[in-house]
Parts: sequence; C-alpha cells; structure tokens
Amino acid sequence: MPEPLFKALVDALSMGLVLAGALSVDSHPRLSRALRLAGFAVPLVSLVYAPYGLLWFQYFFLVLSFLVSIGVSLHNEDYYRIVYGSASYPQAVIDLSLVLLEVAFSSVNLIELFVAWFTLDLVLLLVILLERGMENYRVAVTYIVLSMLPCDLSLFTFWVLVSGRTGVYEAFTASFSELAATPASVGLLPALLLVVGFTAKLAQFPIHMWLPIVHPEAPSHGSAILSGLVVKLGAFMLLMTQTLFQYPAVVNAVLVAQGLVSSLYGFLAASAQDDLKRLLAYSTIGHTGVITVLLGLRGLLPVDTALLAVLYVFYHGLTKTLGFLNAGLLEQVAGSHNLYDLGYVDRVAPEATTPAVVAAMSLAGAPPTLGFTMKALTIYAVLTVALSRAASPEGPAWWALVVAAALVVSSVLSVIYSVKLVASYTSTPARAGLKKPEVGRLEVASERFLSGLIIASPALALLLPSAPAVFVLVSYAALAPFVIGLHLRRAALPEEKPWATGVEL
Amino acid sequence: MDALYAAAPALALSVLALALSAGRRGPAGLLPALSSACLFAFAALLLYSYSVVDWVSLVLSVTSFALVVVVTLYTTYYVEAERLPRSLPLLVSLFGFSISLTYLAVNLILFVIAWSFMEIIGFVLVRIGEEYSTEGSLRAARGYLLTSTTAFEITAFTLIVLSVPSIVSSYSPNVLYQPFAGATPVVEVSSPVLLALLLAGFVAKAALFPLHFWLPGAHSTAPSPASALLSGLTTPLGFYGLLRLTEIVDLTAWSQSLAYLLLAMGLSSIAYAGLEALGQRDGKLMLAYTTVLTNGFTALLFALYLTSPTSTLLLVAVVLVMLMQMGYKTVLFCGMGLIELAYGTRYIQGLAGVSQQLRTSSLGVLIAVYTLIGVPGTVGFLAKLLSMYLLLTGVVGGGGPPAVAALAGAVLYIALSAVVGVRVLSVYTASMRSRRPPLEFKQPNTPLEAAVLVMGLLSLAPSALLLQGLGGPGWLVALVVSTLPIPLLVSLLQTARVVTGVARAPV
Repeated sequence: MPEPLFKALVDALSMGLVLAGALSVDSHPRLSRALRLAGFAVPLVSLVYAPYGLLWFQYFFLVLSFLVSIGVSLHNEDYYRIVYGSASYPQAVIDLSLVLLEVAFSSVNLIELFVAWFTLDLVLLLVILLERGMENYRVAVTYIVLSMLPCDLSLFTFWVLVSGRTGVYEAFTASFSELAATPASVGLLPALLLVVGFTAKLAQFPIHMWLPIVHPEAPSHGSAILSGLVVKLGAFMLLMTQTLFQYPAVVNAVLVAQGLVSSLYGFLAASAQDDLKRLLAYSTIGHTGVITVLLGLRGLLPVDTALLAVLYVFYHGLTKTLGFLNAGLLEQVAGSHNLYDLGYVDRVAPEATTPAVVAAMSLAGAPPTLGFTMKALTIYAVLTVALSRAASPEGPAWWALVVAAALVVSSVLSVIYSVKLVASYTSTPARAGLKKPEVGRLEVASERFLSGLIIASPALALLLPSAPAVFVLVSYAALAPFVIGLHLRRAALPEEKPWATGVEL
Repeated sequence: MDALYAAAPALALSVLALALSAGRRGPAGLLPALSSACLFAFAALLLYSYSVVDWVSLVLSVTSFALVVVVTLYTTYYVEAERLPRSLPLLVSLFGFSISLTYLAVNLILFVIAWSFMEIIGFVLVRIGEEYSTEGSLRAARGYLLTSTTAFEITAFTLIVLSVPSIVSSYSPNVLYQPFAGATPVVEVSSPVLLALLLAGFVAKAALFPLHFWLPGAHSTAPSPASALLSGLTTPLGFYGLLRLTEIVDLTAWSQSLAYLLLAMGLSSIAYAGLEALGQRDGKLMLAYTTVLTNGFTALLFALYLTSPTSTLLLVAVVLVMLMQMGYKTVLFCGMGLIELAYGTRYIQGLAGVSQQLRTSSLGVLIAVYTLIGVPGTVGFLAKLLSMYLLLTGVVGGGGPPAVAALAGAVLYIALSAVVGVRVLSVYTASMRSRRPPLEFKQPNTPLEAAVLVMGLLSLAPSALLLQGLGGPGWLVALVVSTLPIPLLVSLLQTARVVTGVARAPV
C-alpha cells in the first residue's frame, strides 16, 4: 500500500473512533472511553506496521500527545458531566483537537500537516468559544491575529521553500524523511519568515502576548491542550525547519535572544500573578523560552541540545497539562481561580492536592519530578561550555555564562510562583462549614496518571548519551522522602471540628 | 458560431423556465427551476466544448447560475414572510440570469447588453429595498445608479468608441463580434484619461477603495436575496470585466502602472473595509464591507496577474477567490435574511447561539463561514493556499517592495477575514454558559432554511470541478474531495444540541 494512503487511512480511523466515542459519551460512557482510547492509540500502534518512518523527534511528540490526550479526554468527561450534566459536545470538540494534534505530530508529508493544522485552528476556535460563546469573541480574535496568522505565514513559506526543490504540487507529497536527507540552504529573509511564525506559536518575546490573554479565558481543558500541545507545535516546526533546511547562523542567535528574554520575562510575570490560570500561562512563556534557547544553541553544547529540547518539551507538556487540568478541577470545586480567594482547597478536595503539588514541584524543578532532571541537565549543559574554557587564554565563553546566569535566575523565579501555586491549596487554616463538593473519579484518575508519569519518567534523560546519570539517580532517590512526606502530612491533618461561639460541639 | 445558434434557444428556454418558477411554491416552482439550471448548464457546456467560451466563463457562469436558481426559490418564500412586493422573485430571477449571462457572454456586444440589463434590474432591486427596509440608507439607489451603473456605461461606450478605428480600418465590426476565447487585442489606448475611463466601470463594480462608497449602502439596503446576488455574484463581475478588457485592449504598455494602481487600491480597500467591517453592528452592513475586503484581495492577485499574464496558476487563484466570494457571500446574506426574519432585527450585537434555533440553515451558513476563514475542504482554503504560495514565491524570489506589499496585504486580508468569520461564528455558536435572556424568536419557513443549506453545500462544489477541469494532479482532486467532510462534520457538530447551564456557584 502506498505510504500516503496508509497514513490517510490511519488518520481517518483514529478520527472516526475518537469522534464516535466522544459523541456517545453520555449514552454509553464505558464504550465511549474504550473507543476514544483506541482512537488515540491508533497512530502509535500503526507505526508497527507502517511502511514509512517518522523523523526522530516526531516519535517523542507523538507519544507526548498520546499521553496528554488520555489525561485530558478522561478529565474532560467528568468535568462537564458534573458541571453541566452532559459532556458530548465539549467532548467532541476537545477530543477532535487532540486527535488532530496527533495527526499533525505524526504527519509524513506537507499536505497532511497542512490539513491537520488548518483544521486544528478551526477546532481550537470552537474550543475557545465553547463555554462562553460570544463573550470570548475578542479572545478568539487575539488568537487568530497573534498566533494563527504568523504561523500560517511561516507554514506557507515552508511550502514555498520545499517547492523550490521539488515543484509546486510535489512539495505536498514529498516525504519529510526524504527531504531531511539533503537539507537545503536558505537565505536570511526566508529563514526569518519561517522563524517568526513558529516562535509566535511558541509565544516568544515580541509576539508572546496572545498566550496570557487566551489561556486564562479558554476553558481549562482547552488551556491544557493549548499549553501542553498546541504551543509545542512551534517547537515541532522549528525542529522540522532545522532538519530540512540550513539557514544562516544569525537566526540561531535570534532564537537564543528571544528565548532568554521570554524566559526571564515569563517567569517574572508568573510570580506576580494572582490568577492561577494566568500564572500558568506566563509560566508557559518562561518554559518555552528555555526550549527556544536550547533550539538556538544547537551544535554549540557538548550535549545534543535538540534532543534535550525535545525532552524538555515532553516534560513541560506533561506538567503544564496537569497544571491546567488541576486548575479546571479547582474551578469546579471552588468556582474561582483567583489565588487569594483560595487556600482552603485541600480541606474540601484533598484528592486534588497531590497532583497540584507534583505539578508545582515539577514546574519549580524539585526532585523527584522530571522537572528537576530537565532543569539540572539544561543548566549543566550550558555551564559546561561556560566553564570549559575558563583556564584557557581567551577566557570563559561569555555568551554561555550569560545564558547560564539567565537560566539560573529563571529557575529561582519559577520556585516563587510554584510556592504560590501550592499555597492555593494549603495556605488558609481550617475553616468550618465547608461543604465537600463532588470530585469526579475520572478526574482524579487522570491527574494521578499524569503525576505518575511525571515522577516515573526522569529515566528519559538517560537517552542523552553524554549527560551525567547522577541527575536521574537523585530524582529517583528523592522519591522515598517525597512519598513519606505526603503520607505523614495526610496522617497529621487534624480532624475538622465545627465549632460555634467558642463551645466545641 | 454554430454552437452559439444551438445554445441561444437553450438559454432562452432556461430564462423562461426560471421566470416560470419565480413566485411559485412547492414542486411547481422547483421543477422549472431545476430544468432551467440544466438548460443553462447544457448551453454553457456546449459553448465550452466548441471553444466559443473559455474555462473561466464556464466555471463562473455555471456556479453563479446554480446559486441564482436557489436564491430565486429562496426569494419566493422570503417575499411571503417579509411582505415584500410580489414581483420581487421575478426580478431577482431575471437579475440573476443576466449576471450569469454576462459571465457566459461570448463577445463584447453580448457582454455589454447583458451587463446593462443587469444594472437596470439591480437599480430596481435596491430601490425596492429602500422603500421597504426600515434600517437601510435612503440614498442607496441613487448611489448605485450614479456610481456603479453610470461608471459602467461610460466604460462600455468608451470601449465601443475606441474600437471604431479598428472597425473602420478593417471594414467590418469584427471587434464587437469576435469571441473572447482566443481573441487578439486590437483596441489601442493612447492616453491615461481613456485608460481611466476604461477602468472606471469595472473598478466601481468591484467597489475598490476610491470607488467603494456606493456599495455598503446599496448592498445592505436591498432585500436580502437581492443583496446576496449583488454582493456575491456581481462584484466579481468587475474583475471578470477587467480580465476581458485585457483580452480586447492592448494594455502591454500600461500593465506595470496598472498593476501598481490595482495593488494600491487593493491594499487600501483591505485596510479600510476590514476595519469598517469589524466596527459594524448591522450584520448586513458588516457583510457589505466584507465584500469590499475580499475584492481588495482579488485586486492584489489581479495586479500580479497583470504583470505575468501567462501564468495559469495566477489566473486560477483569481478565479478561486471569485468563486469563494460567490459561495460564501450568497449564503451569508441569505442567512442574515433569515436572522432578520426570525429575530426581527439584523443587529447581531446581542445575538448568540443561533445554531441552536435555526438549525438547518445554520449548517449552510457555517460552511460559508468556514469558507471565509479558509478551513480545509472549502474553496476558501484552496484560494488562500494558492494565493499565499504565489505571493510568497514573489517575495522569496526577490520581487522587491511591490511583492512584499502584496504579501502584507494578503496577510492583512487573511487576518481580517478570519476575524469577520469568527464574528459571525460567535453569533451562531452556542455557549454552554449563557447569561443573556433569549430574544423573541419566530421560526421561519422550512424551505427558506433548506435553501440556505443547499447554497452552503453548493459553495463547496466548485473547487473540485475547477481542479478536475484544469487537469491538476489526480491526488490534488482526491485531496479536495477527501477533505470535503471536514467543514460538513464540524458544522454538523456545531448545530447539534448543546446542553446549556450555569456553572456551579462558588462554595
């Protein structure tokens, strides 16, 4: 069977299964779950039989989107069932965007990428309009103008550049792996045109402002997808650009500069927010800044930064999805995501606390989470370069020192906002008379699933050949104190005793 | 020419059948309408197969006529509901026929006659809208007559007068009769004033920036089906006219400056009309400005086409944008007419969740909105894909400032059209958390809704036909056909019942 046809069948099958599952979520919940899981798994399973190969980073993106899809899809089901009583329409829209992302990440040629991408744009607009409809019109406009449009421009440039080698129509069907075999060199102007859109998707400095506007206003599950996966499309396309083309080195310097500014600014702004979702949004800008820096440093570090960037994408995708899902649960439980209104959530929904703590620790880069390993590796890699030439006559590599310093400052800032995040659960002392709200079984299961993944996956860092394994070891070693701490804390919680007028009842 | 004699009776029968169907309900209206469409398609195919007309005429005339037939049926029911004069369906059908005939016109004389006929009925339609509409402008008909109609007549007579030397020198009125297909440019233009006179009619019809002012008033005032035809089918006629002009008149000396002129007009139209469209609360006025917006984009592409007239891809891009405009604008205006009927207002400011009440027609309207936004599977997607490709090739290939300006204009157009699309989308999308009290709602006739749905489905068709006809690669046609379900499925999903409720109150 020819490759494109096989791939088209796989895509159609997975979309069909997921849509059928999503639409039957109210009538046959169990069947629906099975169908959706099967649908999400199809692109992965098909790789076993596929007559084609993907580019190396596509596998990571595909696995990430599969895992995130499971988490978001299950969480979404219970959320809408509890809050609105029916889930089929939101489920269909959310699941459709998830499966389209899988298609985009696993695309083998340009036409598949284009169709998946442009359809995804539409479905994301529906996601943004999902809960509030007309009221979110301005948010949708922001998304179109600042995120979709620059990206479209870059995608079309991508097509034009590929077609320069193959011909107008053939550019669509030429497979990426063939094109990657002989990277074409491109000039400065086309390279900048390419980079501007994809960094806008990654919410990098000059065009970053759409993200803090869109993420807080979109439904939480939509934000989880946007922040966990859609933003990563930018990184995906930057990697694709680096694989398929050779561009002037100055573009990489632009990437590093953009990344550093975004990362400092994002983390600083995140620690100043009082809205949980806005905080998470700014944190996304910060983390994608680090990804951009890593992509821009390609070839300059002893560690393979492209692989490191992909692992960082994996880490941030999982963590931020968990963060936004947890924010959705918080909204359901407490009806608010203003940090200073909260602080008591641990009392009413203790199930939600552990995932929130894991997400916060992972964002801050504390062991035993994947966040620690990634952050440590990133700083280690940059510092090695900075210090390697310290003794030599030309002195240390100043650019690397600057980058390392910026990364360290960002990482300190990220600790600040993570503490804020945890505080929304546990900062207020016991308050009497709180009703215990309904928390869905699936919601808890999905958040535990993602937290488990974050804790279990530091071993991924072993894929980097020249990186020290000590960071992985530390991460796993910290597991025991972490679990014991959680257990002790749970055991130490005093029983709530309602009291009135000073007399204990 | 023999083909012309065979096609003429078919066309005559076609207009007769269409006139018969106008104003009749049920099968009595449907059957003549269908036969009229078949006869017209037969005539067009006949002319095409004998190479009397080219593929541009074929595609545009057949697509426009299919839409005209459905709009005529729509008008029949619309008139009853809105208490408009009984003659309106007949007028609309004749108006539509003359538009399609202009697209199909084989030579200059037929072209001018069909166009003039169309202008007169167009004026009557706007006049009727002025009398019956409560919200429209009071000077719309005057503006239409003085700008669009007069400008065209000036252009037409200039063209005929200019061809006199050629007629005299060859002792035959051959210039006026020679078919467009394979025509040789015989008329020569010596002064910029004559050139301006030649352009005025077409530019005014396409409502490009300095000559745009008559359009928003006229198009928003006319009854909705007439607006649909005026906006969707007649404004691309301006570019069609320009295209024919380049075939009859020898413009090689002027093509560069003409391209710059069109580029400037296109850019200013896009910027001005896009911002105006976003500032409107009146849905029809917003759509009218969107027409100027889209025509600005067509002008950009046409400017490129003028500089390299041998490029088939550029011509295809121009035609695709024209087809896009035909499809989505007709549906959106008819959909806005339904909103006016159902809610008693066309101010879309307070409107939301229409897809939950006008479910059948919403399907069609949503397809049109996706065409405007450019979702895969629609003509809009292909149009934007191809034009962006051509524009970017210009920039990357070192086209200089004009290429960059054209690209910037196209990007601006894509942004503004997507924003207008989302504006309409947010009116139709249901919100799960509705806070506004519902407006008073009156269910319109089912055939009215069905007509809008059919128009929406029709607007999906031309891309596949066009590519098949042009002999693009087979897989491209397969792609177009296989992505067709995307807009359909998404709009079906949107019109499904959505449970609304208010989220749980804070603890």
